[in-house]
Amino acid sequence: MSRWAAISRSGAAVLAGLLLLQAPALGRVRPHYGGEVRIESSGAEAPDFVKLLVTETLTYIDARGNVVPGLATSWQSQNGDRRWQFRIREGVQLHGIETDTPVTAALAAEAIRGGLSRTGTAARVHSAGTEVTVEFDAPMPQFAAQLADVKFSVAGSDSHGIVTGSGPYAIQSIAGPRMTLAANPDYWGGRHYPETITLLWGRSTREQSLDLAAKRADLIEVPPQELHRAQQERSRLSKIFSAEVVVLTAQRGTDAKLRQALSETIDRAALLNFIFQKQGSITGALLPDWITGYGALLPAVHDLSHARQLRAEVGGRATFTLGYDTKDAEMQLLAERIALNAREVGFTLQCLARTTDVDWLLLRVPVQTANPSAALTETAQSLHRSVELNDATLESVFRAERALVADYTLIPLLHLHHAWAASDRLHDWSSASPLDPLPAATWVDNKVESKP
Amino acid sequence: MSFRQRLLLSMAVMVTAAVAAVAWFTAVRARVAFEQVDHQRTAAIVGQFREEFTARQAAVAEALERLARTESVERIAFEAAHGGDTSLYVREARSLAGEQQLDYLDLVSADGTILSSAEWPAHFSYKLTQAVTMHGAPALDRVEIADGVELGLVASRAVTVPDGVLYLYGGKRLNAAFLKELSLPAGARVWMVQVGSVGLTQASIVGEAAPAIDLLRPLLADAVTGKESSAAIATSSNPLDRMTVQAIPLRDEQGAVSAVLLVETSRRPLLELERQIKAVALATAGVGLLLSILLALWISARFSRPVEQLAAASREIAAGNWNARVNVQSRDEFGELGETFNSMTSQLTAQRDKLVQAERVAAWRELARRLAHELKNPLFPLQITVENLMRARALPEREFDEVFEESTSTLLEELAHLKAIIGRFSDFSRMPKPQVLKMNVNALLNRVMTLHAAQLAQAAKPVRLETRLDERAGEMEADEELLYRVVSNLVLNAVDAMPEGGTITMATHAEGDEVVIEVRDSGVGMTPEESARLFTPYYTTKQHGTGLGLAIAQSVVSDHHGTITVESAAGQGSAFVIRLPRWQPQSAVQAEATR
Repeated sequence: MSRWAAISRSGAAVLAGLLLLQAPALGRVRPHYGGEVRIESSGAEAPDFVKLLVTETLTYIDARGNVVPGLATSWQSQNGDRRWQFRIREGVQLHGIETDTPVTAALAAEAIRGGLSRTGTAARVHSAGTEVTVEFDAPMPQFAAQLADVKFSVAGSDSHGIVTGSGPYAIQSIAGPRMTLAANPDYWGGRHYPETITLLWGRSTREQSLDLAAKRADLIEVPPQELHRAQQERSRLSKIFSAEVVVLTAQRGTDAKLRQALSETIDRAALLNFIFQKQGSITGALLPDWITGYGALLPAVHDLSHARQLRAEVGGRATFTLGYDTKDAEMQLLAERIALNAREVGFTLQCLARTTDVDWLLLRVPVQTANPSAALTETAQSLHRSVELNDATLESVFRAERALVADYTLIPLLHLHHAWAASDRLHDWSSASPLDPLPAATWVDNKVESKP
Repeated sequence: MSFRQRLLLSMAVMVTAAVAAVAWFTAVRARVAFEQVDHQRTAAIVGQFREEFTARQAAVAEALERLARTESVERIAFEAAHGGDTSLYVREARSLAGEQQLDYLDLVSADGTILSSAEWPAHFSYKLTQAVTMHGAPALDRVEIADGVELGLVASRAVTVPDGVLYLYGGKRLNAAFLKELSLPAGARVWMVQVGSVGLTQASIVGEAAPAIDLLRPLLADAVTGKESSAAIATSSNPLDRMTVQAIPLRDEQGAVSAVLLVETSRRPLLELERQIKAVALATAGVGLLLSILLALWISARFSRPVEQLAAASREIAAGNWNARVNVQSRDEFGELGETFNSMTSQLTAQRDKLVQAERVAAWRELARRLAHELKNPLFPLQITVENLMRARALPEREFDEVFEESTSTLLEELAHLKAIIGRFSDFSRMPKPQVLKMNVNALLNRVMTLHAAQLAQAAKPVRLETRLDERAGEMEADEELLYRVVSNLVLNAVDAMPEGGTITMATHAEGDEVVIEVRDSGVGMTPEESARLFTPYYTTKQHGTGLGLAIAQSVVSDHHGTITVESAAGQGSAFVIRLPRWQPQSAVQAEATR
């Protein structure tokens, strides 16, 4: 045996040994079904993405903002986007209920009616066979994208009054702020890996962190003010991007110059840097730049001297009330800081922990879709404003957004980053984002230690 | 006011005054004692406040010292000194303050930028309005917060790290909770008033259930200038809701008055005590008054009865009952007084009897003298005539007849004279009752004028008779004849008083319901002594008067319910003034008119 041959044999033996040692590990990274994902959230109700695991919408928005089929396999618009026709996916069953496609279409029509009534949009909705038709008086070019919102999800109820849907999971039980979902093996899109999902909502950020650290939770929310710490602690985080816009809204009629003066008074950078530890961006636009790309065209202006000049031109009363959500500590701090800024140009903003009967209201509006037209429509509707789009193009969205913020009745302040943190038990989770914290490819490693 | 009433009043006044004096003295002493206690209580509260203040000062200083040594503060100081990301610490102050139980905590960089603020979290990245200075011991200061300014006990501490320094400004709030921690005596309350640049408002008062700021303004006006002062204020219309408030200025490190401590003690206990004293005094005065009345009644019964008997006896004597006597029952001063009175009365009665007797003798003597005088004048011619007649028996018949004729004539004249004298005395003794009829007094005076005027004007020394009559005096009721005789008598007296002639003026005028008749002469006049005795019967200043004329005149005037007086001075003439009621009471004329 030559020297090289001996070396080669030895190397092969070592490689073979290494491969043998790695064999169990390679076996563990292979996705498999089963296991429980424990999710915790802070809201007063289940987060939308969990709702959308149970019920489905006619359309979905993918990560790039494109509208893709959901319960509807295809759609078309007519009459200048005033008439929309959706073809319902055949063979879809609601959990535990025997349904055929026309029934699903009827439920879809009912869901559309309900969603439109919540937004105050007038339309005529009817289903026929496997099709659902929606007719508007005005053009609705963004309607297909808008249907991806959870409020248009198609749902029924079983004999016990529990909500049922056609999603990959069915509600197994609801007890207080705890909900258990069981995987739907007949899901038309293919069964998801985890067998059950347990959701516990109404948990504080601190409780969620502790539960994650103690391996009592697998997926928790990370709000912007906690992101820096989470990053420093090297937590396992989803993609981080702006999923929330902070807006100051005028609740009562005031002079436009006065509103502009207030807008230019606010030091957004200080708000972002100190209160949210730079987790986001300052903005003059409602939609985040990652959705629209035109954020630079709607800049945030901080010009105290100009604000003072405007204030002097307007005169009038100088005392206003500024309301904020009483349960939101960040909003309180934000409101107090804005009041402090406003003092510099002669405004007195009295901060009140309430959301009604105030001159100005500070709001956090979540951005739940990557589609610009749908995002603008949903955001505007959350702010009780209406949007008129000529079409679903980005240019049209820009014009509509510029019109919304031009008169300073809506003063966008910050886009805030959001993320989710996951435990080591979740695999194939790298595509997770604030909009989709639990991708379909994610599976649970049952062998990783967990505590009840 | 009777002796009994005066005695009663005196005793009531004495008792009331005594009770009032005692009540006043007690109230004053109570007030002084209360104010002393009040002062001590206030001093105790202020002392306690200062103790609490000192304890808080120590607590603040210790808390800052502990903070300065913590790893987190040192890390922040290091980051700040080396340009690190201080935005991460914007909430740090609040948690650090919470750990050290501080109400205020500012983390301030070397250039005065606030990195984090516990009391005003939104104040981050702003610079301090005043230069970074180091407080010594914790001191009173005004702390800026989002809603304004609060009063706090503030200290500072520098945390030095290589290449830099971090300042800690921390403190505790001096608020209602702090004041509540003071254990106060019952009825006492404390507040603090923030003294700021915006003036004093109700919001400047720290503490619960504070009185209205307007009530405190005068007090605070002194206190903000550094003077301790106190005042009584009323918080409601209830007089018991009065309180004494003492204002104690509290100074900051620079010596400026930054707050005023108000210590209130209720005056209710004092006022209730005063009320009780008044009630007791009133009750005592009432009882005393009642007792004094009873005592006065007894004393007056004991002492005033002899006096009253004495007064009654005096009144009887005044009424003419000279036999009135006082019944003496006691042997005290009143008994002695009664005996003296009785003795005096007996002596007066005896002397009166002697006087009456003496006057009667004198009257008889005067009457005898008058009669002797009056009768002696005619008797002497009678005697001479009779003696001439006896001597004339020896004369021849024709001569005797002449003498006889002459003597009998003289005898008859003198006898007539005697008869006239006796008639006048008889008239005086039998003065007739006036026959009152309606008459005209002016006509009466004219009648007198007619009778005497011509005769008087032709006399050797002529006398002029004038009248000055008032028509308003005309009609009246009187006995015209008697009144005519009175006026004539006065005119004749006036003539006698003017031996060298002169003027007699008769005048009338009306004064209310009276008619006044005046007869004035320009004669020799009279001395006051003569004037005083003028109307005494048988008194006369004339050589041949009986002294009855004016006495008769006075009698007539008196019978007409009138008066006659004389105004005279020697050498200046005399004026007799008669005042008569125009209408006689129950006169026949009136009776007839009534019918």
